[in-house]
Amino acid sequence: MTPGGLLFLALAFVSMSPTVAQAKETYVIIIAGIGGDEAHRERFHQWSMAMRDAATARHGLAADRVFYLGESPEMAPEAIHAKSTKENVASLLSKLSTSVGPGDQIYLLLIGHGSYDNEDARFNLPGRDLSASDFDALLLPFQEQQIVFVNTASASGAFLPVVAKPNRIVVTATKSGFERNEAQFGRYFVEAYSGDSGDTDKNQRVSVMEAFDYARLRVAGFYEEENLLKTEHAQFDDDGDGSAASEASKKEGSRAGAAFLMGAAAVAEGLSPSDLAADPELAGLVESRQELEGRVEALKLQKDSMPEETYLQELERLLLELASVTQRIEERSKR
Amino acid sequence: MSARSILTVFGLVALGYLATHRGPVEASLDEAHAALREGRYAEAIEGFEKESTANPTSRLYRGWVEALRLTGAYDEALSVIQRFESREPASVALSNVRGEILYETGRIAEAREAFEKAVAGKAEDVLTAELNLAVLVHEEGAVDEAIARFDRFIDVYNRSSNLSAEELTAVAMACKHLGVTDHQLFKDALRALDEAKAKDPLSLTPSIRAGELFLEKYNSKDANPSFQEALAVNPNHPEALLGLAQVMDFDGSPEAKVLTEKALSVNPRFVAARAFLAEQLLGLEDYEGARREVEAALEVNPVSPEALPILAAAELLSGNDAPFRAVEERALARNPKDASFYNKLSNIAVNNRLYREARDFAAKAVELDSRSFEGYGLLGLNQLRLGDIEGGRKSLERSFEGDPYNVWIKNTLDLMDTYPDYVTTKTSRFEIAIEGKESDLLSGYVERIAEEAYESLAERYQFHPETPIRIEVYPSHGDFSVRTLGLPGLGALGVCFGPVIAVDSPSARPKGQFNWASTLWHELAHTVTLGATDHKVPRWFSEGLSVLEERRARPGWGDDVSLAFLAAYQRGKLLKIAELNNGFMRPTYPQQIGISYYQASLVSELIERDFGFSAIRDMLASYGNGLPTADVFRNVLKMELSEFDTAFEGYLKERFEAQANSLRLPPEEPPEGMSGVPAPAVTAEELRARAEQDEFDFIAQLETGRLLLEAGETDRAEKHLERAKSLFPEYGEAGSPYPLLAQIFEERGDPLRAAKELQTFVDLNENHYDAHVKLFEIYQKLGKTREAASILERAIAIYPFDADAHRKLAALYQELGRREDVVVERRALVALTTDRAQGLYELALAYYEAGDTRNAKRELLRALELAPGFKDGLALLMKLSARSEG
Repeated sequence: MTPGGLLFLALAFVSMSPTVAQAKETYVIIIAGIGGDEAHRERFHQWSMAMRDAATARHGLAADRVFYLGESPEMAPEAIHAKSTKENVASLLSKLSTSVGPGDQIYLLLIGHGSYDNEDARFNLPGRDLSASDFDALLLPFQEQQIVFVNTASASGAFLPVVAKPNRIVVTATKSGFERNEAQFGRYFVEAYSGDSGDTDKNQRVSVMEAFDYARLRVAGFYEEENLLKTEHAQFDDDGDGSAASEASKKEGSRAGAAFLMGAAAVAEGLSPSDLAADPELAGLVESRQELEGRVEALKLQKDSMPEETYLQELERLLLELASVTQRIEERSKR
Repeated sequence: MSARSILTVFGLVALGYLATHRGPVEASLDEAHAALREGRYAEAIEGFEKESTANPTSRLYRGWVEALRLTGAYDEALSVIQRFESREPASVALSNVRGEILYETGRIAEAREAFEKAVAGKAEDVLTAELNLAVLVHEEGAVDEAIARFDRFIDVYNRSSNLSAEELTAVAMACKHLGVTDHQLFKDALRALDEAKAKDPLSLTPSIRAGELFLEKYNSKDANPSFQEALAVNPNHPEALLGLAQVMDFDGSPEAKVLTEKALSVNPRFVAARAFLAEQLLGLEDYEGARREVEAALEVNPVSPEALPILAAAELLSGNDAPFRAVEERALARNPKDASFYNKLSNIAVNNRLYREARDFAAKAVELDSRSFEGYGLLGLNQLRLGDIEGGRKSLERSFEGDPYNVWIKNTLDLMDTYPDYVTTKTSRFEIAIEGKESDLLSGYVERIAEEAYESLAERYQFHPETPIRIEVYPSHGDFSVRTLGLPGLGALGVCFGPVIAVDSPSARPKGQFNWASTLWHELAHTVTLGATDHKVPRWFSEGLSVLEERRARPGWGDDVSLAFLAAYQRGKLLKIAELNNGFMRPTYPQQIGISYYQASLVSELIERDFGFSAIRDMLASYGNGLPTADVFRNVLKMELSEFDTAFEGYLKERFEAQANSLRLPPEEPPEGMSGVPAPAVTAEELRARAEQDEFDFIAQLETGRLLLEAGETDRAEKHLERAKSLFPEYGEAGSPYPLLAQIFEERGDPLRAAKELQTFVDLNENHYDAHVKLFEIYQKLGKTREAASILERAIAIYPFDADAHRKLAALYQELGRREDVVVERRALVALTTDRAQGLYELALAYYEAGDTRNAKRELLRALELAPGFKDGLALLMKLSARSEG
């Protein structure tokens, strides 16, 4: 294997490893825009609440790390932090910028309607809207943090080239500002976090890539089922170059694949760093598991260059070891 | 190559318009020419004759001869020419024309002399005469010499800037013949024809020739307006009428016969038209009728290259081997390497579903002429029909290389370019090709249905079709159409070529439009009946048996009685047995095809009822021996066709008279809009009044019931709906009373009765997805697991893409202990789910529970490959490993 190949493998190992490059703290800001009518207002609120509940109940975020700005705070005063006006959004982000630390992760989820006038893309709020360049400016103070910016509105595709930056993962429901019909993407993106089916690699965490793929496929299924022409095509950019992708590739997707919605320093099975410090044997098992998972990923990269039977035998062997270690971790962590 | 190409250009001069400032004689002559141009032939002939003494010019005589020619008075035309030449013995003005008429009547040697005279004498139409000579040389098999002659026309064109319309048309025809050496020349042919049209806008010949050229390339879209353009000026032009008839035939329109007959009414001795009529009769399996027509054509021209292959085909299809060989010898006497003879036979064989013979004829054509690109095309298409995909591709590519303008070949090659996206799975009897994205989902179901159908049908018919049988499932209806007839737009759902079946995928059509499983069963029944008779079973019988087999296979499958059928029955529009093929191949009204399917199935049903299924097998054997229908009925059923027709009428009366009477139809056309919506002219009040006054009026009872239900008057609605149901209990179309009654009972909290209504409905209607799902829900609520599973299976046969349906069915199978069926459903879910690792894990679990640890491990490894941290999967892996070590 070439040095380049080795480096690639190492990177693959590193990117697949569950706790490496994990944010120290994760903050979630859900912004529900103006609905325009009762039905949309209710829908956007339901999606926002589902995301909020998923972040706290399923993914271990503390309640004070999750912010929901909605059109009508009176709909759920205990959950909605403030009205989703331009001023309140700016104020929240400004405050947050002074309290976050390096390596933290900020998830910004926009749920609502969007618009595009051939020059400027906007997210529609009660009162004045926020444009793509507005959001870009509001996020500039977060230079040492990872930003996950998800705009599920119609015409959101025009946000991507404007908001994209090296420390940002940008996801939009449409591929351009010209896809102006109501988008289904947001519903399924939230569903990826709130349900069981988004965790496609079953590591009990949902990455941005997993949520994107889940939503993308469900959107396609929706249009096929309803016998409609597809009017939305979701895209993402995670290397900050502003060029969009619709599927993971060698160039795009690895950072999105490693960005999880997780509570502070959480490890799978709900073990914290202090749990591991108190039990060196457990820590050793967790480390073994990480190492085995890395070896499985490395083996997968060699699949095409091996006879199938050999590959399957080796895969089985590694998986059995992994199964054994996983079982021991479970048994030990129950004590 | 059309024999008519030798004739065509003459008409240009005869129909040309001359300058103004004519005296009374010229004016009269111009009127005669105008009459000729507009198809008032009698008037034209009279005019020319009248003026022939005062104005015996070659122009007059040409017009006169043309009018006679177009109306089939060939002998008289020759006499007129003779009259001119006796006045002007040195003139060669009509020599070419004379040659064309002699050619048309099969007097080839004399024709050649006449053309040579025109060439030697440098007649005004010398270029046309040269073309005609080149065509004769080509027809006699001296292809290289002919090509050299045609080639000279290119020089003529390039060296001259002032060719007449007639000359340009001659150049076009030469280019057409040269197309086998360089396909660009087909375009040049069209260009020359366009120039001819521009040169002489009054001439119709360039349009007609253009139409013929387009049609040769299966381009009916452009052929149609070309012929229409000519007929707009002259609605009686026999060649334009025939051309348009051929376009209509290509497009499957019943207008084809009408137009052909019109062409023959203008010119009863029009050989090409009579040959075409004969060919159509072959398609209807009326071999005697075809023979009559083609022999009439051969009386006019005993060596007609259009008529001889038709006669040969009539002998072949009648099983007359020696006469076939005799005609073959006769046809090849002029040119032993005449590929066009075999190409025609190949085409006719296809129309009669004799695909092996079609392939063999086309192979013979290309063996004789390696530049017969039409032959390669026919060879390729028939290789594909017989399952030889690679061979078919090679032949089609060869055809396309030489002639890229053949729409059918191009479309088929484009379709084949998508074949790498298809996954082929093999069983012991089948090769099943399904598009990649759908293969995981559908392959298991297709295999199951196909295997069950084969077993069941082979046993009943005591015939085992050769295997493997290839089944192709197309997610795009356009692709299915191209596979079937080279063009998108076919109305069918499936097609059987014998060893190859092509069907629409359930994704090719909106949900509820058809039932893919019954369609597959239907086509497999064709494989059996075609195979058992060496493809000689008549269309109506094969279709009737296929529909009958569908009904036998599952409740609800196969056509059932419809309002349209009852109306046709009541109005006496059902066809006699001897004409039943027409209902499929030459329908005279839109619903006739569907009605014919059902009628044919009733015929088969009656035969089975009265004579036993062994009679059906004996009939098939007789057809396989080449007997015509009348003999088959006589020998096997001991009945004349007319006797059977009488018995069938009795059967229909027994089954449907009461229902038909209850329709209360007016004596005219079948009712439109009878899918549950009242006819526009009838108001709700009128309907209600009718329903109150006449308890036997089915439509009034049904529609009144519906309207009352919509208005919330449930009790009254029930009364009328029950009445409608009792009048016509077999009515299972979308507007049926059963689902409405189910709705009433469900709202009343009586799910058992609701289920009973829906069960009856789905036992009549195989396509109504929502009714199937509704019934499943009711059965589930009632705890009737077995019934719920059965209905959900049937729903999946309509629409298999609902993951939830598969999930529920898997759970039901689990409950019923049907472990292997759980595996099938779990496999379907892998194809449908976005959570692939979970899907594969559950499939692995299903295999494990079914005791298949090998497949369980295979699928589990696939799941864990995607999700190595999947705890449930890892735990199962340990279990499997422990089991295999144990």
